[in-house]
Amino acid sequence: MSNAATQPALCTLHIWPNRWNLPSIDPTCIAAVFYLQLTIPGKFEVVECTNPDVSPSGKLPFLTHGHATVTSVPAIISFVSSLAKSTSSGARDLDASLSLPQRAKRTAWCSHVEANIGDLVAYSFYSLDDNFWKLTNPTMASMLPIPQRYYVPGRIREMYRPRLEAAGLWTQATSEPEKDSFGKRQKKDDPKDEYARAFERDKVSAQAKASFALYAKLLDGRKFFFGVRPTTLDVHLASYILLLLDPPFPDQLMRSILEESYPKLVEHARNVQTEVSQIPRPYHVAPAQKQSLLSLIPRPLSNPSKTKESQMDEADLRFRRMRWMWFALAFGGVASYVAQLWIRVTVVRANRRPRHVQKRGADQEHKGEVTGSKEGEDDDDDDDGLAGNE
Amino acid sequence: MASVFSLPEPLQRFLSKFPLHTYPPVPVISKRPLQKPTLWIAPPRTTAIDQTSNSDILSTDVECLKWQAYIALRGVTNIAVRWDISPEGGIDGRLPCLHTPAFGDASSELLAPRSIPGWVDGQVGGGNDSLNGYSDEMLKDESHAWVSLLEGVVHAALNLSEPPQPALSQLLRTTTAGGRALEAILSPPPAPLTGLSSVLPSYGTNITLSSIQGQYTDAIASLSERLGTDKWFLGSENPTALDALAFAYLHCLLYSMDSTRIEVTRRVNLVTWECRVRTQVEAAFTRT
Repeated sequence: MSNAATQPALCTLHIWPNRWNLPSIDPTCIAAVFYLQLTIPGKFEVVECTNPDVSPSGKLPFLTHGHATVTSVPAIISFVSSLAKSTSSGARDLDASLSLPQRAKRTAWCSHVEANIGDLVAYSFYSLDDNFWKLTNPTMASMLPIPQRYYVPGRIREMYRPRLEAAGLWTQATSEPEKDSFGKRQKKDDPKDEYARAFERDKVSAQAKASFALYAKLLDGRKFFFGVRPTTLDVHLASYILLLLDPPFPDQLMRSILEESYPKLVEHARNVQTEVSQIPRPYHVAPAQKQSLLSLIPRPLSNPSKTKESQMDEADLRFRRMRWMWFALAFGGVASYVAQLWIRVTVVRANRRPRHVQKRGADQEHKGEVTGSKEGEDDDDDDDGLAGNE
Repeated sequence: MASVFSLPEPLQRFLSKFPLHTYPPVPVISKRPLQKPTLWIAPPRTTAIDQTSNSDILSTDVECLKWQAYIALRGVTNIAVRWDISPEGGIDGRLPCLHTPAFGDASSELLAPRSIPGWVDGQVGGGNDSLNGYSDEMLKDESHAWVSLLEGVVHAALNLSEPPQPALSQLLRTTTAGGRALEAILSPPPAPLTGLSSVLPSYGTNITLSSIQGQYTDAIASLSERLGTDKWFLGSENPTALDALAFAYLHCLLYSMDSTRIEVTRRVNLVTWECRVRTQVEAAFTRT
């Protein structure tokens, strides 16, 4: 048996493209890349993707390994951790050194990072008008094809809006800037808006400092949270912090807070980045795939979710089978009705044909009689006529 | 501020035929004045499966139940509950609300959830503890992480495990009557069902229970591991706000559909803890 058949397939990670010396513009994509590079270096490749609709969850990142598709970072981490349990895979478990109580705390803190620091990243990218129109929108538009570049960035912004509003990070003064007749955006400096912006800025700043302070205290001057090697929590936090530090935002509120008040968090993020870059086997990055016109069609029609039966629970499977059975019965019923109808029509036509022939024969006879009688009458008339003439 | 413009005289004479009278406010005489503090909550389960428990006094809404648990665990008792008021009648169009009776010079008040801790502090004292009942600063910080976990993936799993409502009732249901939308609960928020790249406007959310089942299982396992054999979460001597929140979610999950309920029932320590806390919470409330 050849070696190629026994070697496991390469994992392919689909992420948003890279910018600003970072693996991606999305924090969850960066976390996925960092995690895979620390656990399965050289055993995965990265594909830059600008169409999140190809993912079953509609979001990036997602990982493909053979026939398996795994979406969301927690699921990717869980998948790779399961690979680590097999000694032949060569995968490493980042959290192997953690005790059960530490793993429980890690889960809670990772959730806190995604919620709180994630909100701050979303605030920087999507809530602030300056940042969105001068950095986020042009960056995304440069990656996306026509016509997606004209509406996808705005759509992503609207996707984050409910979350940011619930967190109190959707700035009140956020609105579409008015355009003049040349289509250029004009900035109206309303004193009330400026006052509101200053107040919002203070509120956001206080919220950010409260969140960063928690992690600074948790880190407590150590290189990483749980010892000398980075764990999943380190990877999570670093991914979000790097996206607050490195992009050239016009409004550098978060960066200034981090660098001035929480340099330890900056150092921690750089330490994680250094650990990842020092892995001797770098990953291969495939360029972004071109989008087809099918991407313009709504997702359920163009890309029906092909959930494998093994991933569906019993209720889903049963529902799916019942649904197919219903369709089969419905079509079967219609088909049998049509077939019966066709048979009846055929039989009726067949019965009518001899009658029609008989009728035609009867008609012809009748015609013949009539003609004959007519001829007879004509003969009689002729005879009468002849008789009359004589 | 006087108006710059003045009405012409003929118009003033015409309008003087329709004078404006302001009547004094009509005093509302209550046939049943409030005797004790009353918490307005979303309706509890009407059919009590377990007849041994007073399950028809605990709200089915996790937000209302959280405040019920908070009030009870802080040691306040003899609180009435009522569930005949729709959410639109509450402050900010939401429940719960606490209706306090008139006492001495203080008039009757209707309090929003954000004012409940202050009222409770006034009843039982306290409120000066900078650690909020936790043993040390580190545990107090850790409580934020557990709150994020409960209010994130656990809340999303609870929402997704609710049976889908009929289309007609969804049309009649107001937006304020419902809980938080999944887009506001999860971070990052779920993608729209129609996708981001399609030319049609976005519709729906692309999220199912099975897509977050793994995270939910991890969350419940972590919660169980952290509770261990402690009396209260994070090893506190007395119940804290985290205990009230955890109780609310665990109680609602234990009455949810199988796939979410079974994860909690597998953890014996969570089930016994919920049962013990439920007894304490139910004892604090009476029906109006």
